Amino acid sequence: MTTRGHVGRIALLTLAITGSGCATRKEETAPPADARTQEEAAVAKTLECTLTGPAQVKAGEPVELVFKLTNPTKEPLYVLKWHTPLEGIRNDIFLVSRDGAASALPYGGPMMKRAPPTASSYATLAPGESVEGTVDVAPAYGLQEPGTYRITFQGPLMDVTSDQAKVPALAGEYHDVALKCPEVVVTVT
Amino acid sequence: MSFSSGGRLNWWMGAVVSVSLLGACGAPEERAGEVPTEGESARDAVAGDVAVKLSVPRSSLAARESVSVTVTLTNVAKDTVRLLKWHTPTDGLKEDLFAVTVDGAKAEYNGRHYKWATPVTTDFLRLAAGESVSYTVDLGTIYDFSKTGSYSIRYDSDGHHSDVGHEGISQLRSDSVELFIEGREFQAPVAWGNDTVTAQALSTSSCTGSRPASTVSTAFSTAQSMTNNSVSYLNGTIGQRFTTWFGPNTSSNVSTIRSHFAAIKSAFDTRNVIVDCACSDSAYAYVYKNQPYRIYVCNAFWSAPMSGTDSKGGTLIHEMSHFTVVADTDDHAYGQSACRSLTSSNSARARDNADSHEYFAENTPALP
Repeated sequence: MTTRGHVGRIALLTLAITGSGCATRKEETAPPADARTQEEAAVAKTLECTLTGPAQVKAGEPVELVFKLTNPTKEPLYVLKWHTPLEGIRNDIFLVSRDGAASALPYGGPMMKRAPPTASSYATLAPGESVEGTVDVAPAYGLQEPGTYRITFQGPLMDVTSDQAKVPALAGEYHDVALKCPEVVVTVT
Repeated sequence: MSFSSGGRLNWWMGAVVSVSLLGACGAPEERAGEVPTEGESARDAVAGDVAVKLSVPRSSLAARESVSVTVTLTNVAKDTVRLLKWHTPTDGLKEDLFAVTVDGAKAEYNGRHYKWATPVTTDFLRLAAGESVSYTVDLGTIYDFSKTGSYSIRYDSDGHHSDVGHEGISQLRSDSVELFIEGREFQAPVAWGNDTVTAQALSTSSCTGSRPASTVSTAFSTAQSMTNNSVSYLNGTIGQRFTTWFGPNTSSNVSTIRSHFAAIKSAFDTRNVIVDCACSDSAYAYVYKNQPYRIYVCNAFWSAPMSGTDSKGGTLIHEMSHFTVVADTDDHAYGQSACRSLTSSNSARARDNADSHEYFAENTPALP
């Protein structure tokens, strides 16, 4: 619904009044460098991501972004679709800011607790292949008011492997992979 | 999860946000209207002092959507006034504060009625000149929206009669909002406590057949007892149970988690929580962070154990922690293994992670 952002502000307002604090997005420290396996490092280096959207839309119209992952390696890759537009918007997966503001807009979409993944929770990317997902970010992030919005996919990809035997990940043995996906700038008029 | 259009809140939200949100943020400890300063006086509001506005996010609601209405009270007088909180949604809806009609006929009020004692200082909400407060309330749990039709909703604090003797103190009325609502079965709230009416009530939506409301009730009380246990632990000796899920035992970290669980407890104990059973996704459950306190439970919830790891009780705690007005947690990692890893790789995220709160509360296997 197009009023998510407003609902967010109402919640924020209530929050401020009840004295629980004002920030809707907690500050996050940068993740410390962790010891990835060589396989993961290779995967991280090789998956390519693009995020594209309309340069300009009218207020009230959908803001449809296309998220595309490409596998340029010579091996198939299996990517858990959770927290990516490949499954739609089921969690807070984008950072959206308006008119150069430092703070992100509140997220008004669903937050979903997942059951363990199944094989169908993964996208399979054959060598050279791409997969894409299209989502309308306007309702969940409140892009109704005129302004210039910067939209970034947060990542990481929660589980990526080239080993089919590891699909689906058992007992939470996920291998997450940071993903650089260029931001999109959309002007709502 | 369909999103339809309608954005009529723009103009007044802008005003409310600029006038009072920023002001409130500057002094987050200050709770509007509460804890009056010693010696400072406020007169009782009279008709016309406080403007009441109702807003709805959309003018048409499907049966699965909650009937959320935002009430904004603004002091348009030139000085500070006080209102009886009973006439406002400050502590949830405890009275018949709305006039609801469907196609011209009155929709029944099914909520609580309180017999109020003579008000004391803390029963008043104070509003400085120009100050606004907003509350979002879900009317679906207390008014009968079983008919499909055109509804008219108006705020009228004189709609109830259980505080005879105080009715003239602060009458609050708004213009009506009109909306089309698809009928939904009314689910009476389940009363909690032993023959006592408390401020807390659970209601359910679409919980029938193989998804019975009685199971939701048991899950709810299990979540409450897990939460109480968590609060007690956090006020005692901090050990492995904390560090496993939330990282280093520092006073700041413990304080963060203590405040999260205090808020979770308060929400379970005092808010109108709605559990909606209509979801048939493979997930456990979901919420909209900005729409407290409605929790949608899905397929995995029904096959989960009542308590222990990834249980029904724990799932409700996970979801409750997400609400912006509760602990505002996110989903950074799912599952015990990933949550344990998160504690060492990025413990700030562990303290902001809903599943970490759930596993701490479930405490299975039990840690000291």
